Amino acid sequence: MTRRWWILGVSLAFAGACAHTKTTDAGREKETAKQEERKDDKGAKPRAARETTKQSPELHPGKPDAVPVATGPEALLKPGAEEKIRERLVAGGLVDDGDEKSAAVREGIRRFQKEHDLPATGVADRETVKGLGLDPDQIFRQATVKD
Amino acid sequence: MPRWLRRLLTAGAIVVGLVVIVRLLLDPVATHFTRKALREADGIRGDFQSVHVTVFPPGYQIRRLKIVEHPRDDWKNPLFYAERVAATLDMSELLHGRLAARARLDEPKIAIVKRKKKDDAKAAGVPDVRDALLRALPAEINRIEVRGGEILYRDLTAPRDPEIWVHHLELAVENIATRPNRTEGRPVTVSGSAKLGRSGDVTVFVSANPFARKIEFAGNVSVEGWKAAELFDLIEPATDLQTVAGTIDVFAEFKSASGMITGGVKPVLKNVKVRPTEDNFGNKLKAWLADEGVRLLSDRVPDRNAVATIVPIKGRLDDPEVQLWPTVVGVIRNAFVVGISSGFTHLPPPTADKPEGKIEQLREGLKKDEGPPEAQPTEQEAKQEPKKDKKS
Repeated sequence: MTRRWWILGVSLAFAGACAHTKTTDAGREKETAKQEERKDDKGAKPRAARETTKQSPELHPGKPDAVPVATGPEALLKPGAEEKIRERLVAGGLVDDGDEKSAAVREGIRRFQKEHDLPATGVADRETVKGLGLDPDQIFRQATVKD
Repeated sequence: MPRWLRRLLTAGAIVVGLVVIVRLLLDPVATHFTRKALREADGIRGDFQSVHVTVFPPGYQIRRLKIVEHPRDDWKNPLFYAERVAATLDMSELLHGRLAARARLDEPKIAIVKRKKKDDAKAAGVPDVRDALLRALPAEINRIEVRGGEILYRDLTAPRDPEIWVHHLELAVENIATRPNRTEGRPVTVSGSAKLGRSGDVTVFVSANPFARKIEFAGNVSVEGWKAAELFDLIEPATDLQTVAGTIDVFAEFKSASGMITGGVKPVLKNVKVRPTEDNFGNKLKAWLADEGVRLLSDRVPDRNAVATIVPIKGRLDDPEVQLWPTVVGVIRNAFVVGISSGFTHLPPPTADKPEGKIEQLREGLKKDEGPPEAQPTEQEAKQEPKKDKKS
């Protein structure tokens, strides 16, 4: 009996070793997103997803009276704010005009912060936004404060 | 010279004289109060090179501040050292009649030492450095900046006294407030970047609402490109093995509200090779098994050959649960179905609608067209689900 288990185990290991994935989900996701975009264009229904509770980056999505708390800095920005920051960085020669990657924007912010004696975190905080000549109240979301 | 002009000149000279005297006295007075605050602090003692008070803008700075644990008083290995600690009054807040300041720490160094129990007994508890600094500066701090910081963690209870060294730390903490009406509906945010050891790039972002009924926070942490060889002092004493090649990436994302936390950690070990530190048969066998284990569980993606998974973390904030089965399924999925990419994709992992058995988790988690294995709902979440269905 034990011998059978050993043979089964070794066979599984060899089978597994031959069937390694050789690709990551990063490439697959881009492909899936493109496919879904195409389907949406045609007005077709998207592929039925497995029933799961989707995770939002925010704690209280869609609640304007709740203090915005989120896992990433992008989720704390107002719509269009990321583009405004990027435009300023492009104007300052810190990001290439055609470079839309978030890593490039992050590096651009880091360079701007170093040049302006701010902590080089790569995250656009209020001081960085002020330094870029933007109004922080127009960039960052905040809860509607009741009087 | 007319008498009125003489009087005016005398009055002017007196005013200038007073200003000069006050200015000359400011630094010694501030030095006196800073020394007093450090002398009276619980569990610590401090020293510094100089204190300087600026008038325009109103501010205060200490140079070469050194703080040690008291009564240990080990001045060669201070708990905290900063080349410069500066606080400047926020003029925009002053216009609103509020006394708020911004603090900046240049090249601060913090040492955290884990000692043996005998040594701990001698220590006078956890020193409160913050309290001492606040006594020296009574204004409310609404922004903290750290430039070129260092944190050193040293474990004196383990063989070889392993260290974790974080340096080139750049940190900004914003919207700090002591009362809810001062927040103006904005969260406290912490953003930072640093170097871990000689090779790891660290980023941190946390946002929080400290005035929620139960503190709410969310954020992410990442370490990228940390060379596995840097783990030598941690791995070798316990295993007689060393990781001679490869890098480690770790990505974590978390959210906490109403006393509950959800999140996930994604470790990605790329091109890791294990070798024995001494050439005897036992060590060689251990190293071979470890190396083959890594090889078997790696995804064979060109240039990375990685072992990866997503570890779901859920539960109460004071007692979070690490879910083991989805973690195991994640390792198998990475090796034999689809490699789990580096980065924050799929973090935190989505939660299944209802609790699933191990076989079901394995079946669903290994489907090629689905994402990595899902977290399982906590008992509380599982109980809440049917109620939602009824309402809908």
